[in-house]
Amino acid sequence: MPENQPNFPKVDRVIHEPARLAILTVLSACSSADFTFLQTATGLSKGNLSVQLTRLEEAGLTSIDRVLERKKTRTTVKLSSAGGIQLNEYWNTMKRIQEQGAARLDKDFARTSLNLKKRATDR
Amino acid sequence: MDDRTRLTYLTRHYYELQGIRTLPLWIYFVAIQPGDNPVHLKGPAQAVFPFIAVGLAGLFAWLGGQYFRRRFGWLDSTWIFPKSRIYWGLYLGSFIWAMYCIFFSHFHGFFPYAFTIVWISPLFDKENPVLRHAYFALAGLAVFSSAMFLQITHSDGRIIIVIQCVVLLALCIADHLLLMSLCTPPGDGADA
Repeated sequence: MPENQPNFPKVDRVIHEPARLAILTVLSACSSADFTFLQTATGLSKGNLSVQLTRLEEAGLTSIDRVLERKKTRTTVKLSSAGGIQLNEYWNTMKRIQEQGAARLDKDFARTSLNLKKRATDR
Repeated sequence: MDDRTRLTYLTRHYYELQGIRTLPLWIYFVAIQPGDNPVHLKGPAQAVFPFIAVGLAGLFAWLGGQYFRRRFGWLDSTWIFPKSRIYWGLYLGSFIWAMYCIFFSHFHGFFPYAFTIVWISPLFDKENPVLRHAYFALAGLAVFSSAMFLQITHSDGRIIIVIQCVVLLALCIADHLLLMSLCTPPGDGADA
């Protein structure tokens, strides 16, 4: 039922996934990072990291560069400008949700304590 | 430290925390302090020895860099300089004063303080965790107090170089342990 759904701002589902969010957080703090560093920082397995990077590239949030270096492919990942903007927007949305949640909690808390006081005075 | 802070901090300070690469340099400086000629060399070998030792330390630092690149990865990030005006004021003021004393009154006693202010820069970086602030503060305090103690007791000032190098050596190891604690072993993290 749509009436009962909380009126929270919409969150970007591509960014909201923890593994992808971790990758984007790393990339937002540097110009570019290679596959090994992303693995070190996020703790993701090779396969999972590869899948998440492809998903992020498809969404246009990152750009992947593959260079052949000493018979080995070195994968370097960069946050795209659109990715940077969307990540910022994501954090702002999360902040708004947190603020809304905190305000609602404050209201509920005030109502509950008022009810408790009333009950105490009635007795 | 939450995950967002950890990831951002690790990425921004990845190279700064690789202090272990300078380990042989501090060991060398500690080793040569008890005497000017610790390995009892004579002739040209005595003159060449420091260059070879420092060269080897440089080679170790480069090889260490290669190891970190292969094992933990590479990233392109800008070097973070301390932005605190207090730091730069202290740094420049103490250095100018130390140089002035060396050139005009031939007194070298202020140099250890100036040098200590150079390497305690992480204290002025708000991004550093409390733990790193704590061990840098302790290290700085140890060097400052021992330098003061040596000046008050008119002891041999050369010991302060050993203290500085031992402290820097300990800081290298502490930074390395911090780096290791920030890295997540592959497969253990958010493997969703």
